[in-house]
Amino acid sequence: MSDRERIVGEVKGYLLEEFLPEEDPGSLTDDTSLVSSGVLDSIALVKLVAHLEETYGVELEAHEMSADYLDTPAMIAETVEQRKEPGGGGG
Amino acid sequence: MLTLQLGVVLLLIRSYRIEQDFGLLQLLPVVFAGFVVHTWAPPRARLPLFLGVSLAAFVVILSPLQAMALVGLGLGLIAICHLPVSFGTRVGLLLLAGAGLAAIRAELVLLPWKTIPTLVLPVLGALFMFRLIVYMYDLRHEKQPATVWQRLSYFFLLPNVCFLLFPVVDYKTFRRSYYDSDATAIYRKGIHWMFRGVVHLLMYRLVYHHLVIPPHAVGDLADVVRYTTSFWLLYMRISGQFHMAIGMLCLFGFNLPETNHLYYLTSSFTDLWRRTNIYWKDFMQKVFYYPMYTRLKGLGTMVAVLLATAAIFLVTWLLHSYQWFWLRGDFPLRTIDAAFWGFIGFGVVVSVWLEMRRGKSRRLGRPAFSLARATSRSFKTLAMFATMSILWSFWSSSSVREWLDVFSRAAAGPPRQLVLLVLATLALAALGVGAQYAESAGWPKWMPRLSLARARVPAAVAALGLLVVAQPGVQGRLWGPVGAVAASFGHIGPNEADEERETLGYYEDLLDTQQEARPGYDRPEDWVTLEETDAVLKTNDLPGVELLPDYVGSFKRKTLRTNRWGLRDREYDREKPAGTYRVAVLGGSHAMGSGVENEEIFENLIEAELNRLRALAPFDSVEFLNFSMAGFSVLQSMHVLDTKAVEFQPDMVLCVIHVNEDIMVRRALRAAVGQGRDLGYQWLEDIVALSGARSGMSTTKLEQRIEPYLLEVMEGAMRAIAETSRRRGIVPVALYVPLTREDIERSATRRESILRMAGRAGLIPLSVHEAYVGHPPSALMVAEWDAHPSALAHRLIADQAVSVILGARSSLGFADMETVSIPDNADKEPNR
Repeated sequence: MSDRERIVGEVKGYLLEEFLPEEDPGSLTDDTSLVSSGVLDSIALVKLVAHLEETYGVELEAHEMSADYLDTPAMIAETVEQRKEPGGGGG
Repeated sequence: MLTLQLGVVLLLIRSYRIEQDFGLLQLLPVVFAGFVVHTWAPPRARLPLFLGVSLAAFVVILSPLQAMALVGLGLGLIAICHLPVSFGTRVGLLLLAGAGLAAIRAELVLLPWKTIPTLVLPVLGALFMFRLIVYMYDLRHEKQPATVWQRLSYFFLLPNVCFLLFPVVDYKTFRRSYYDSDATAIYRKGIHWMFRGVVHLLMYRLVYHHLVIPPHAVGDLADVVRYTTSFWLLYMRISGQFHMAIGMLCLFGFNLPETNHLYYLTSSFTDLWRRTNIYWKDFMQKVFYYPMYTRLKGLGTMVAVLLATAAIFLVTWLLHSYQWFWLRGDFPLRTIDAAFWGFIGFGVVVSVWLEMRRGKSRRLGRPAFSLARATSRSFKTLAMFATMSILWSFWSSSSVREWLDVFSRAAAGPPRQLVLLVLATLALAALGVGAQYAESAGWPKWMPRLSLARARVPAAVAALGLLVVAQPGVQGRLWGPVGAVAASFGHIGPNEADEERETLGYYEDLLDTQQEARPGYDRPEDWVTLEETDAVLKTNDLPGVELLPDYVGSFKRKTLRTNRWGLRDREYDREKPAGTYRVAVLGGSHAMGSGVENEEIFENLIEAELNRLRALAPFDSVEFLNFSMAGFSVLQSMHVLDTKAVEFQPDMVLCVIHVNEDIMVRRALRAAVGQGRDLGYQWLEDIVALSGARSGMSTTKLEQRIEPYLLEVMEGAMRAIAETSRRRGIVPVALYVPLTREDIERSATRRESILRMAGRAGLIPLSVHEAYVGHPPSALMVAEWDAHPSALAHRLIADQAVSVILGARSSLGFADMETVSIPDNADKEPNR
């Protein structure tokens, strides 16, 4: 299992537990849109970012708290991975 | 087919003259032609073409020179954003440029081109005041550079020229959404949203004309509910304009998201914040909330979130004043605005705190129906609607005291009103539960999630129906209530409350020093009220004021000169000369001649003309003595007649009245009672005692108490004038004069009612309401900011008054006088 897949899996687990407890786990795919579809609002996004920063020891910038970086579990994992890389920035 | 649909929507806008004051009707041909050409243009040419359409719109709505100034200033600002210097330096330069423009807007720096601060800068402000902030923010993190056409199009958006309160379009979204799906679907969405905008704006008119009531007319619980809900419902105008603006942009391929989403159905403050003016929420979130959160997160997630949330409401309050500044030229920091945003902010902070603590379950798809959850949501939605109605009415009130006074009336009225309110609430909650069940069951198919494709047929039917109803002659054939609703859709004038407010401000504020200057009138600083001049002496009697004798000064840039008796007139002896027919003129600002010279006042012109014609022979001459004063109504006129005018032995009393005489009486009595002055008439004291009005009460409360007795007081004053006159052998006449902006067809019912009242009271009613026919209001007003009659208007009144007076000579007792050659219409019976 690659690092990316591991992060995607963990992120999905967190999302299901924290925000989608009544949801069938199968309905949340790697490419499910969360921010642009309105499932995650600003409060949820802040919580998610706090969780990512704490869990993966990364720091996200304000402009990364958007659908451009965190819309789907796959994008979230990609952003985290980029941030984990030495000198990784979000653009 | 799309062109036809757009044509129908534009025709609807034209038929109902939607937002014509903003120039929307002039924009329609540009939009239509631009859309047709744009859809046929090759994709590469579309953005430049859109920019061309926007610039054409600026030229059409402004003027070529103003449009050039606008574009030149705009290009200058965009150029600063791209200077080859550091980001911080560019921001500093933009701030400097903004400060320079602000100095021009505030008219601290005067330019030779007077339209720059008042016409060009508001549009420039609408285009740049927020978009520059978003642009610079995104420029810093831009991954893929935009083309010059994308950048220019972002700033020069064509709907902005009409809709200055334009939603804050996000730069990234603007770029990302450009033709991001099927072009036909985007165009269709644009047409649909424009139609939705039309519907919102027509609904707004319905509310504005049928639901809104002035604060003093609030009498019981039902009125309080009506008063408060009407304010929140008026928000439909904003959402209507936003739908129209974004719909227009969709026609040119910008597939922008919704600006407002079912905002009357929000169930919490956070829900409200997310669904009302969504673009603003996104702007605040992106530029202020997340950056603030990231800076504060060291304090802990909860603290950082709550502080950032509270801060954005502080910023929202300040930015509303900032927006006001660019659009209106001043920077109001009103306590009532701070309190409003403070309440909303507090509500959102509490909601966020609860959500952070308890968590909130979300669903990827449609949630399963739960009766408990649906019931809770229904009641929360109703509570939120009530809360917003109350807050919005608070925000719209002129003072906290006025607002509290309105609410104090909720206890009045029969108990069945409370029962009805509870039953209506329960019925609405049940309806809400039913709607949620229908939504979860996906039944009926078209209702809960009205897709664009499914909505096409009902929307087309509704559009065509509205178009038919807009045609002349159709409304009159409709069944009563339906006809009334249809008529409201087409009604573009002020409603009763605003018309009344306009009239109040239209008169000098002589009697109530607490009255604030009305917004919307850009009066020069030297254009003061009569009370603000040194021509007025305060008294403790019913009128409360009188003109100083032998005064010479300036009033509204004209000479105000009084004679030794304190009349704005030439000198007359107290003793009436032998062979003279004397007329005492009573009235307010019209008769006093606010804004014109002494010699231009209609009573002087009538006097001169009757003397020239020797119309009242065998009398040698006619004298018109002007006892009027700005702000006076029949109530003060009654007092002036008794205490002053009778001493001059008039043969006739000419009491000048107008369509809003009742409003002037209300003001006069409110001020006299409020200031505890001596009313001087027992019958008036008795009515006031009966009404419960007394000094120390707020303006609204005083008016509420007086309102039921208003017409009784007005007729009483007229009767007193008639009785005093008859006792002394004076002919009592009421002369109705039109207001310069009066629509005499619309005011016919009110006018006839006032003249009938004058007749009942014993005055001889005459009217010159047609004096201004054929003349535009702009020529009749003394200034664009002051609707008092100009010299021309006085001349027109005088001409018609001479005809009417001589035409009514039998009623006035001149029948046995010599016949003279008189102007047209003079042989008519009294023009009532």
